[in-house]
Amino acid sequence: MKRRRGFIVAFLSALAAIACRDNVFAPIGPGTPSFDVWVPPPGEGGVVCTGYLEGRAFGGPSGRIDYGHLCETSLDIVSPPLQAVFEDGHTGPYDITVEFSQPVAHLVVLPIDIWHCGADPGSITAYAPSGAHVTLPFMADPSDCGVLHDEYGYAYSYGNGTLPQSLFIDGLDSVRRVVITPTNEMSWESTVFYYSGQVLTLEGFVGTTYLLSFREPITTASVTIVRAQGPNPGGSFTSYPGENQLTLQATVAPAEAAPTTQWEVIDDPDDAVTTYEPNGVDPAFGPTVVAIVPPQDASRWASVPHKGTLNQKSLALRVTAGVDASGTIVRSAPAYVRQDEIDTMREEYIELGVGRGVPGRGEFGAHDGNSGDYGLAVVNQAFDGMFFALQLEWQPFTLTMGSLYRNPVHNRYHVGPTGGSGPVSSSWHQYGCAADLPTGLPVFPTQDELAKAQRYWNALHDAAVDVGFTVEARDPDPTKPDKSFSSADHVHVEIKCR
Amino acid sequence: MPMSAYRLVSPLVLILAVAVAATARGQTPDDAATMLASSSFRTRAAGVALLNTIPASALPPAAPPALMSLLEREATGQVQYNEITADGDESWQEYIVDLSAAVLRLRDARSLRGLALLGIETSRSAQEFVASLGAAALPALNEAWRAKPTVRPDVILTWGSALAVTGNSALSPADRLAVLAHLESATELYSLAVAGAAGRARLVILAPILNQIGDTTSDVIVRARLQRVSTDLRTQLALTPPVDVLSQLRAWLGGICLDARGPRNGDCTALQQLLENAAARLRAGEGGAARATLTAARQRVETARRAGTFSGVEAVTLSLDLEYLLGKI
Repeated sequence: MKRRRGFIVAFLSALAAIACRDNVFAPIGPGTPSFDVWVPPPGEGGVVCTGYLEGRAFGGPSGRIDYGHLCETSLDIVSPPLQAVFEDGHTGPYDITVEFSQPVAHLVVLPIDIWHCGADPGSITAYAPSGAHVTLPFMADPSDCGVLHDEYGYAYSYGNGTLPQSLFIDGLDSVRRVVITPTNEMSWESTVFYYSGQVLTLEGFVGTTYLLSFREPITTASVTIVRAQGPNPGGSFTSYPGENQLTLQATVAPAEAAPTTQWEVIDDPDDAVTTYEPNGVDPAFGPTVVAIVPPQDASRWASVPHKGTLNQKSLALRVTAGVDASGTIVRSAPAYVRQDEIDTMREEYIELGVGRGVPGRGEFGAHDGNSGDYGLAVVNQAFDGMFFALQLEWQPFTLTMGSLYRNPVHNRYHVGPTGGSGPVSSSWHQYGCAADLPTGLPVFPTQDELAKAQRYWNALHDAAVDVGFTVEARDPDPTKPDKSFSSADHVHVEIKCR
Repeated sequence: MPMSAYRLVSPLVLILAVAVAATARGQTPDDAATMLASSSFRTRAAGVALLNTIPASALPPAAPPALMSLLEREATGQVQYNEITADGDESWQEYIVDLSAAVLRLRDARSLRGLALLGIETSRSAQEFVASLGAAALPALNEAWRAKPTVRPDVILTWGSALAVTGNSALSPADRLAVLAHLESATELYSLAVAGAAGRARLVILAPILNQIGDTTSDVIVRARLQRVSTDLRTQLALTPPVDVLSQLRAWLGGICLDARGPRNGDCTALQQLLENAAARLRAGEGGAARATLTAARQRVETARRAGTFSGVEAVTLSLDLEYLLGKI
């Protein structure tokens, strides 16, 4: 009785169990098993990479394949058009040509299968990039050939399969291409003799996978951010076009990995501000790129506490660079791009769309009349000069400065219950060009005190007008119907300074 | 960090802020001109602020008349106000300042009424623009004087500027008399403003009376301001030749005597003749005769004061100046 059965051997541990040989043919002769079925590529160090599938080879410790560890080198099965270095008795034997994406050294080829005793084990021809080549025969372990296998007293057979050996490609410094010529028999009959007199003949097919192992140097990559900054002094920035371009630069080792540098620019997770992140970098990869800070969410200012800290106001981004080191991304230490105090203040003008524009960085400084939320104020020398003139005019008395500079957020949200100059204002207070000069009116004035404050108000109003200030009108404020006087507690003076 | 931890403003304020911000953005100049007609003063303010960012020459055609009309309507209480603002909110004040500046930069005589009724409260530039219109400005200033007590100090200052205008827009003698008459009548009640006007018009003859008012006022600020102005005027007075001082005094008397009738007219006529005579004597270099005439004039002023045909301030102003001249001649 004949039965056909095809099988593919996948694990070396199964090889011995299925090795068989009929007793019709004389034993080829016993041999002595004397080798490891798999040997690592010679040498030390690096990563042992193994390829048998079309594509990137896999790393991992000796004898094991870690499919999560991609090596740099990949395989291209030139012919026949297969997804794996594999052939079987149905379609083979045929030659397989494999090309490596880059030259490899210490190449060891392991056929995983059982070959027929006495068959030609085939060979491999390896080619160096130079075209030099060597052809080396595969070796098989014949020690089981002709060995009697007694199956617990009810059957017996003679071993007729050999285990192929690992073949080290010697004689070439590096290999770019190999042509595998397999064993010439990929199917044969095996006979099992039963003591009952029955004889069973089986036809077996082998399917051979070739593992191609080599050592690949570990790519020791490193990446360091050497520049992550905006265009303004100190590397600061704003979201204003022209000031919103961040320059990111990294040094990469090895240098040839630099073009693969990738960048991550995210909101600084450690501050209390939500900074909208750039939409990628340009170019997408490389050691030197730019990132554009997009327009930000102006509504954030309404919830910033008064006066708040820079940590609650300044836009900040965390920048990390990375390079691909043999499948593993090596990341740099993070760098931070953060607005300084001046640009944080200027960002208020940008985001709130204050109508008279964004003061330049040089316009900020310390000022006695600062009633804003920062340590700095917009300083306007023309206003200060006129104020000095008014002070001279006001002698022998000294003017009191109630409120001069207000940053836009303070002006909008923090002055009074609904805001100093209101949400539509482009108040000159925001440019250091307006001041509120108190009249000394008490919170709960008597009639005499109110009259006195109004006299002061009138005198100061007229003096301020005389020296050239623009001054609030004397008329009652129609939005405060319970008040009979414009603002008896202070005189608002300003100049048009932009 | 949770954003709610920082939420210190009411949702209503947030909604308002976002809504107004949305309104302010993306507006065209034409939109801004339309916004001037809004019933919301915040919207009107946003429209004015936007128009102020555009060069006057680039304003849409509808904007200048709309701005001038708005200022005039604001000045005459014809604009609706639905909003109430809190203490400390300066939106309205800054809006009026902005609106006045927006109209002023048009340099358009059609803006006269609005500027006279309101704009001149906000800047010397507005006052001087109105004054530069010369006689044409006087009816508007007179209307403002009558209609709005709050604008009177600024009307006075503008009158002072009008007196200083030279060239084609200079006031005629008759108009000058009318303005001087206004200033004279305001001297006691609006002494600070009159002092300012005197400074602008170089009315050195007001130095003595302003100094005296300053000396007798109880308010330290007003006193100091009057003393400062009068000191400046005194300095100018000292540098002014007596004949010119006398000329100014005659003009001032003309203002006092404008439309004078009855006994007052008699005193006025007599004084005017005496001062004219004194001036002639001075010009002729006859100091002694001039002194005698000025002495007679001083006696006549005192008589008029006692008779009640001249008010105390009128009489004191004249007397102090006559004494000064007598001391100088």
